[in-house]
Order: sequence, then structure tokens, then C-alpha cells
Amino acid sequence: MPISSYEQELIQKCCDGNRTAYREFYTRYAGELMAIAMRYMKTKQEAEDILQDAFIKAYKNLASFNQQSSLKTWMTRIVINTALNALRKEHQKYQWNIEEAQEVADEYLPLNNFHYMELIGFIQRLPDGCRTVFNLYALEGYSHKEIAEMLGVSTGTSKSQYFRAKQLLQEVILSEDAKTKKKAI
Amino acid sequence: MKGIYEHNWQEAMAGATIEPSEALWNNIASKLDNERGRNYWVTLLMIAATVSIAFAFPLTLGTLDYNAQPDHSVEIGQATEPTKQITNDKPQISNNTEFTKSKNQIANNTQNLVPKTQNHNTQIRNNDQTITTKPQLTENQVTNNQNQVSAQRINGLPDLGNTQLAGMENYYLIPYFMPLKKDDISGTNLLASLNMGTGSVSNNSGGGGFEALFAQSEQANDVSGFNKNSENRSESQGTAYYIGAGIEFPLGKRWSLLTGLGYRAQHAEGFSNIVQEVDSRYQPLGAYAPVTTGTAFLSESYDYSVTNNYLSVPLSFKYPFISKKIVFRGGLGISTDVMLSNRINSKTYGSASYTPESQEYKRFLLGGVATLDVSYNINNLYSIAFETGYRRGLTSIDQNKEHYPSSFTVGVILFYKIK
Repeated sequence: MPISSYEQELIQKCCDGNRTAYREFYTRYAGELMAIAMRYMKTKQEAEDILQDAFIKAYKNLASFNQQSSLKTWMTRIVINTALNALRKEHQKYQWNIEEAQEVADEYLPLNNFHYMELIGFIQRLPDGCRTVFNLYALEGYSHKEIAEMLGVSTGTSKSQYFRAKQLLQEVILSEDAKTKKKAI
Repeated sequence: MKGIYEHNWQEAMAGATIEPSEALWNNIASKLDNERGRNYWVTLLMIAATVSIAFAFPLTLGTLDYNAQPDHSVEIGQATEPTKQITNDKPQISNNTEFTKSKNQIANNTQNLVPKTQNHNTQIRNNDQTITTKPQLTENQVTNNQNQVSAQRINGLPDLGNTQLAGMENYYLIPYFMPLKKDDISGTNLLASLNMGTGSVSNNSGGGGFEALFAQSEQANDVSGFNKNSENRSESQGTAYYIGAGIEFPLGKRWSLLTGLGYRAQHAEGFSNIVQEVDSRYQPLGAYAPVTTGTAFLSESYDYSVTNNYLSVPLSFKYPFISKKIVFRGGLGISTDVMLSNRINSKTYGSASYTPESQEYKRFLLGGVATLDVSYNINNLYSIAFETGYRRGLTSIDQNKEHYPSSFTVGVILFYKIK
């Protein structure tokens, strides 16, 4: 998707060192990117740290943005990469040694009964490995093969973590939904 | 291919936004300011390092090249049957015991014979082509013979046999602009360039050497008593510098075109035993200066320095073959140079400025340039590059089309993105 002329102009101004333009750039994308960072990290503070690093990287590399994807896609990729690097540093390696999970049948999840802030909270409760794979597979749209390459694990591990994430989310969402219905009654 | 499960999650999360805290932007702005400050010092360090390399590298190359040459002097064959005996002796001093001055002082005085001749302290007798130098040395009791420098007229010189001008393969410096960073490929850049190097300044055969001398011998003036001595002149490779400014235009996504305008000065040291008579005054001539009417050959050489001045217009195409954080680029182009002047300075004979034509240089020079550079983005606006290149003359430097000089150069270029 080609970028708009507004975005082109904004990029140019940023490249020229216009700090006001970069503030505008920040304001335009910070909210959406913060939501993404929140899904990968466990706390808001950690997410803000990721966002800060991502915007500094973006500022340094804006001139090399090839404009073949949208600015939002480009920024999202930077945020995700920054988050993965932070998680890698924090844990050295992901906590994969949880019990092997078996694929579960997709049960209907009442996602519409929850605000996205609540859904993000459920995702944050997942173990790091499960959370990362769930974000990459279900929400970013990567394949298990791609995820395995990104994280340096096997495809089987990626699948296993994903099934485990689905299992955990199913439990928590159905449980929370039941509580909500109980309160309503 | 994702299923309904993933699709539902994506829909549920679509449009999710969470406002970060107000402090986040302030932190980002503060970090960017710090980065800018750090880049300033990085820039200074890089410039200092690059300038150091720019000095050291060409001087090393020049020294190696110069030392590799077997002979830097100009040689001539000797006359087989001279019509007159050529006396080519240094003035000698006899009867040292009567001197009140030390030997060293006397030696100094004798070496001053030539300049005194020029300063009209000498009486010249055209008939016997003998110069009698008198003042200042009289107290040293230098005999008349010892002060004589016999001269052979150029007129009527026999065939001197084969002549050989050695050391003409000296290289010749023509700096040029270089482009750089990958991000500049998509933009237009102003640039400032500083190139340095080394090379021979006067890489010229001297207008055909002695063939020209013979051709002109019939009309040559009496050279006022100077000998047709053996030539004894040579020129070392010297330093050169170039400053310029220009602009780089993108040509598609990767190629770019670079052009501009620069000033170049080439400097070298040498010694020579020829002078040029102009209005009864003798001017210094370089080691490769042509022998023409009014040229005189001295019995002793004098030291000189020479500077050639040029205006240069480079035109280069550039292409990046490695484009990471550090960018490597190759380039091909031409450089058109206009020689402005050829200036020679010597303590003995003062200064003289010559036009390229009078020294039988070509005023316009064209060279092909192949380059390699490595560049680094300082920030979104500035980048700096260290470049090295090889230049080969496409046209000769001399009017006889004998010499197509080549050179190595190194330099520093600062780029500023304007678009």
C-alpha cells in the first residue's frame, strides 16, 4: 500500500530534522503502537520502554524507509523487533520448557464481550513464550515457520506454544465471561 | 492460512489504541538530543581520523612510487664532435693560504657566482663568450680563470645523438568528488570535498626535448655567456590539495550523478640548471620545462618549488554495491581540468608564473576516474565519506601527446541532504 502524500511530507520533514514534525509523527502512531507493545510485554512501563526505543530507531532510520509498505506497517515491525530483542535479553531464551500442549479444538470464545484492554490483559497473563507466539501467529499473521526462524526455535515448538496459549486463553476468557454473566444475573 | 479463531482475535483487537504517558515523548526528545550531541563528537573524531589517513596514505604511495623509479633525472647524450670545447667547470679557488675567510665562506661565495651574474655584477663579453665576475670576491684573490664560466653558443651545435628523458612515468594527481551514503541515493545532496595526494607536478617532456632545441637553435639568442652545460635537473613528487563543492543528483533508486567545481593546487620541489631570459632578466624554469629561445643552461643547479593551479569539473556516476550501516560504493566518471597557471619559485632567481601554453602543457585535461568509497551516516542530514580512487588520463598532459598520467587519491567528503 503506497503511503499518502501527507505521510511522504511528514517523513521528509522528519528527515530534515524538523522536531515538530517528528512529534506529529509520534502522536499519529504512538497509541496504536503502544497497544501492540502492551501485548508483548507484561507491564505498561515495559511497553513504554519498547515504544521509546522503537521511536528512536525509527527517527534514525526514517531516511531509509523505502515506502514500499505503509508507515504503520514499518513502525509495527520496528516495535515487534524491539520487543523480541528485549524479551531475548531478559530471558536469554524463551521459557519453552513448559509441558507439551496438544492441539485443542477451537471453542467459541466470546471475545466481543470484552474490551480490547481486557483482552490485552488476558494476553499479558500468558507465559512469555506462549504470549510471543500467540501475538506473532494469531495477531500479526506470521506462519509457524516464520516464527520459528524469528525466534530460533523449531516449528514444532512454535506450534506447541501456540496451542498452549490458546488453551490458557480459552480457560481464562471462559472463566471471566462466566463471572461477568453471574454478576449480571 | 489463518482460521476463524485468529480472524476473531484480529477483529477484536482492531483499532486498539493505548495512550502512553505524557513523559514518554519527553524521554524520546531528550534521547534524540543526546544522540545529536554524541554524533557531533563522532563527526569530529571521524574527520580527524580521516584527515590523518588522507595525509598518510598518499604520501606513502607517493614515496613508494617515487623510490621505485630508477632515475628521476633528465639525461642527455653527449656531443660526439663538438665544434668547440665546452668548458664546464665549477669555479675553483686557488691559493687558499692567502684567504682571510674560511674555506666555507669562500665556497659560499663561489656558489653565488650565478646570481651575481644575473645581478649585473658580471661583465659579459660576447665575442669570446666569457663571463668575468669580479666584485665581492676580489678580496679572496680568486683568479680570473677561476671566475670564468665558459659558454657554448647554442648556434651550430652538432647532433647530440640519442636523447633520453627518464622519470617521465611519474604519476599525476587529479582529485575528484565522491558520493556516498545509501540514503542519499534517493535524495539530492550538497557536498564539500577535501582531497589530498601526491604526484609529479610537471610531468611534461618539455616540448619535445632536444628536437625542439635543434629546431630552434638557428634562431636562439646568445645566452649571455652561459654554457651549454649538461642538464642537471630533477623534480620530486610533492603534495597536492583540492577543495571543492558540488551536488549529487539521484538517477533512479540506486544510481546517482555527481558534479561540481573545485580548485586544485599541486606542489613539488626540484632542482634545475636552466633559466629563461626575459627582458634581460633570468627566470627559473622547472625540470620539465621546454627548451626554447632564451633558455640558458647553468653550470650549477638551483633549488626551486613549483605549483600548478587548476579548476576542476568532475562528473561521476555512482552505484552502491554494499548498502548496510556502512555503505560501500563504486564509481566511474570523468574529470575536466583547466590549468590556470604554472608558478615556480626559487631563492636564487625569484618567482615566475607561466601560462600552460608557454610550458607546452595542454590547458584542458580530461581524465577517467574509478573510485571506491565508504560512507557513514552521521544523522538524517549529514554523512561523511572516505574515498580512494584511481585516475587515468584520457588526454595527454603535454602537447606532444606523449604522457597520459595516472594517479591515486584519497579524500574526505561531507554531504548535506537538501531534498
